[in-house]
Amino acid sequence: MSESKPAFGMTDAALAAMPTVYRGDLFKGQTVLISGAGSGIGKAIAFLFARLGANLAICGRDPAKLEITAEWLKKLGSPEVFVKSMTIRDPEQVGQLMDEAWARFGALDVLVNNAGGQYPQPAIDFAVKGWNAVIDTNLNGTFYMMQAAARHWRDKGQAGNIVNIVAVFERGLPGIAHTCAARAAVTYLSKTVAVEWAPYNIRVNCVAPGVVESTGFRQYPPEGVQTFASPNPMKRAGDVHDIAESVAYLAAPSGKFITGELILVDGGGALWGEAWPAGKPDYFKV
Amino acid sequence: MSAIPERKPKFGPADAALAEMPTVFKDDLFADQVVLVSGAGSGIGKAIAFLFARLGAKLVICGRKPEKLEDAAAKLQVLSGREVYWHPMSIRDPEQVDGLLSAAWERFGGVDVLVNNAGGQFAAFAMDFTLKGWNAVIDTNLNGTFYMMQGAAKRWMAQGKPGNIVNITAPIGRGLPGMAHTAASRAGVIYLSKTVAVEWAPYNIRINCVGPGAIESTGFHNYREENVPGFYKCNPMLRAGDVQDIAEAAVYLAAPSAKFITGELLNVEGGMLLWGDFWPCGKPDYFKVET
Repeated sequence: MSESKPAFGMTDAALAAMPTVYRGDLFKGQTVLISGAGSGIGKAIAFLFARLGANLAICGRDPAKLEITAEWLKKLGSPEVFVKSMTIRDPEQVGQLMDEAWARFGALDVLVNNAGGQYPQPAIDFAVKGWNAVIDTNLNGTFYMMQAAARHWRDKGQAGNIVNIVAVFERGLPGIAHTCAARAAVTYLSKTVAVEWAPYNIRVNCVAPGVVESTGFRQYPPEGVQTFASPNPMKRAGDVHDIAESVAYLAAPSGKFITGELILVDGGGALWGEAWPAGKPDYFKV
Repeated sequence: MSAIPERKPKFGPADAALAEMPTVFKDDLFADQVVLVSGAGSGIGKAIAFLFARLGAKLVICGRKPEKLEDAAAKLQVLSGREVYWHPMSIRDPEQVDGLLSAAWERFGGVDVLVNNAGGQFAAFAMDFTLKGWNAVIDTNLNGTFYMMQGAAKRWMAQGKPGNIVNITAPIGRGLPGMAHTAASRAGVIYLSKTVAVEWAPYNIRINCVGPGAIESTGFHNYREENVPGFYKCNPMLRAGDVQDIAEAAVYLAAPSAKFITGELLNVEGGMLLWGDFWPCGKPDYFKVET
């Protein structure tokens, strides 16, 4: 079956062939749970961990997409793949996912909270429902996942490792204020529990992707996507594999003395450049 | 690796142990690339040089003490199986920096990665700094690093080649009581790096920093003995990091894994910025509070 190049991001075959800096057996014998692994950045993270020998537990809302990812993960060398369609917004489903993952693998070494999402809109137009949906998924859902995993690790006396995918929020994110608030919250939740959970040997870190080209670009209008061409001093978007490699760095022993940290993978976008996911208002065209 | 069996140093790994520390990276990651590491004669700088050598890089190392560099160079050559060039000098002297960079470029035709690790400080409260002591720390850590960065960047621009700089700094976010001079100089380097990450982006030069917290190395000898035990309790992990933690951070940022990262500071400090106190010249009575 030949794959056509998607409008944004790369084909599965191209993703599977991206060069990696890591040795091939880095996560052999370990189990990694990745949320939102059916597409985009989450899929890229799952692909890399599979290539590095990990058992994978993947979750997301769309079972069909998860199945396609799971097939690839097996092909890429993951010894065992566990698939669960669910939503992280429901604490009961989160609890069930964790119980099943532990039942299946006996342990979980790394939790990557990648699931989340947003839609572009000026904050003045947010409906209560829309605002709540973004906060509920990105912040509450991530918290449920973190706490549920941490309780398993604490109760079983196992070390734990969490990497949360957030966003570059320091200068605000005009056009996606809800996700800016939620991602800042996850980052500072992470810094806080990095201290609270240090006694249990649980490390908690975050990765903030800047403009990273993936299927996620489809959620933005053309006038928004247009601003993604030069949002940083490199004048280009990153690729999903950049994020996968940062997650592996933090999850591996390379990150064993790192906790409560946020790595920006944004091509310097925090220092120069603008992205306007909902399009750039005329007022700012100076 | 040497004929005489090595004794385990009081702080940090012996060279033979350092050469065998596990790494997450694949063996040929830096095959035949040229990496320049300053302050590579001991401690963190030596660990960075060792790791790049194990990953196949040709090394240029500099530092002030020729005998340490010569010893390190011999070991690097064994690890990499490739050419090593060592050059004793001080980064505080712009002419010596120029001499080093010219020699490195002449010898290898270019340098792919510059790791500015050289630097140092003495523990003291700011009230007690002498003018000379303050100036020495700023001159080495900030000015010296700038000379190295600018010298390398000029050569990359002239050649039309991409460049890559990793600066070893410190986690300065909450200040560094007991080392105000180094806090100031490291913050200077970090924000210099953020600024030139933008200015030099058009030339494909990436610049990032690593902020090591309490990392057990020979550097611990710079502190009074009674203050060292506190370094193992100054973060939520209640332990010190090892030199390989910093070497792996430098490699991660220098490798293609970080091709979309520039102007960033990666703190490797076991969470010290969030909890814990690092008191390199002892904790003043005022701060000995019951909690």
